[in-house]
Amino acid sequence: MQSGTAADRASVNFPSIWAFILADCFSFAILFTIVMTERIGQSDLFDKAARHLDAQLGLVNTLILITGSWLVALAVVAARRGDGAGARKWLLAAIAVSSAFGAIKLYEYSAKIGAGFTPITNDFFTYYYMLTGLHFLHYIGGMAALIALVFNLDFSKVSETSVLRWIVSVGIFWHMVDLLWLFIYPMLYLLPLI
Amino acid sequence: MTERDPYRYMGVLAWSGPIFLLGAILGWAVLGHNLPPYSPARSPEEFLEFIQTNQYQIQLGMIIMMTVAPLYLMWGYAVTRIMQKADAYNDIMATLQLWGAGFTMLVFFVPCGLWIGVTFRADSMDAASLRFMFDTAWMFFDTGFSPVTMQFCAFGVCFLSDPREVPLMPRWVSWLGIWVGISFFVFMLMPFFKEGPLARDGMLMFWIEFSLFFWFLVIACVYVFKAIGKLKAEHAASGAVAA
Amino acid sequence: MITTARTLTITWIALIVATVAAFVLCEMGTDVGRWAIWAAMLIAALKAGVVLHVFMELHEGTIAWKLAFGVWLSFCTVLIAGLYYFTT
Repeated sequence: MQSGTAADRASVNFPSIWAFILADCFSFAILFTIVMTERIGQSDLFDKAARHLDAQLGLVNTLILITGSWLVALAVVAARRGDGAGARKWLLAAIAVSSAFGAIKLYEYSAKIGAGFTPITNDFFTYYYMLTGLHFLHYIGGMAALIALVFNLDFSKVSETSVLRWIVSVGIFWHMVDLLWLFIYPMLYLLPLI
Repeated sequence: MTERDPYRYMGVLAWSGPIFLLGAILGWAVLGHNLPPYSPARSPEEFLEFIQTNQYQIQLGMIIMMTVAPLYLMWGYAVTRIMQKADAYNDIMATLQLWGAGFTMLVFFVPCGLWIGVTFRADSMDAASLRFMFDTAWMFFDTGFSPVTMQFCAFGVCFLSDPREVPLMPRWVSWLGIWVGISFFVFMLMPFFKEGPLARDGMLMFWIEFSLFFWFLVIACVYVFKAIGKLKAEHAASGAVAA
Repeated sequence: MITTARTLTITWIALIVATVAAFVLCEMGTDVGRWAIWAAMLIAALKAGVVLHVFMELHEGTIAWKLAFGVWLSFCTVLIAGLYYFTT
């Protein structure tokens, strides 16, 4: 279904947003390094504090992000086939499922703050709020981009390079929100349990 | 051709970027003793000794920084002119970028003025008040990130919409601009920390976040020169056709 | 290489299973032994690799891109698992 020059096809299969993704992933690697090195010397405090987090809510949120990612990937496959209506339907499903991540995260934050765990409680919670907060900003940006796609894109022209590139690029960004969480979840919630 | 050259002053504007960078590094960073900045965790007395020891160097450094600050606006105007060519039908992002550059210039002006004030009265004011003024300038400097975020995001968004086969600004530079601009949101955390990686002299705040501004500016300066070259070639080609 | 809906759905099921497995492993807590740290992070790394290649289609990129993300993935995995394993 793809038309146009080789450069057009390349820009759809491997769009330039990858430059942003690379910079973002490496900056999170730096954040991970900071958190993990700050943990040295106070690992008891970190692990005890981490046990106050709700690993089950974290699990549910991980499953939500994975499912949202899968739905967005299905939307991209539909768009590549030239099925604009199908792509829009999968994107709507992804938005519906993924909105639960935000609701759960906000509930988690308010429950933690209600129980007296704020960013100034100790170093663990400083970094917990920093990492999950920066990730949450990415989540908000990704959700806004998905919603903007669904309402602003002309899905009848999905075979055109510029329209398809939008769907692929936003999809890649959305998968990155998932990708980063796959490291943040074990780092903050799971490994302290062992 | 020469008297109707639309790029006549562009070289001056483009060179103000690198000259600004040199002035900022020499004045603000080296002479100003900001590599890394003075730790906010030290006592007022230690701070006073630091200021009194380095008084004249810091004063000179900040005077240089204030003097070169308008060059940042001039460079921003070069970028805006290129942006107007990248998207010929809509100059909203180009205008926003220029305003972003202009207000970022104020972020260099106001704190440096305060820091000169601190050194000016270092012999007669009490240490705690001096340190308070020094800290306040830092709040403007780091927490005042939003104009430059607006500037870099407008830069990236506009150049990404360039319809040319080979865009005036490489797409990775545009994305990098957007990413650097957004990553400055981390500065929102700076006022909450006096030590550690999130304090103003910390590994994350200074060596990564703050230095990103300079690294991106170096890259953007290089590609501004290249973009002007491309535009001049385009202009010459269209002139040849017209003739 | 064109990704099909079938591939994506199999990938999704595999990711769900791996996520639950890592959760169950870590919930057993101190009973399982400290090797579980490496096991859990290995699962996370595999999941991240699958997301990169199947969902994000990193395989469309040049070798330099794949290498960069390979370095990133290995670094994050070894950093987190290593520092948990060696600092008690």
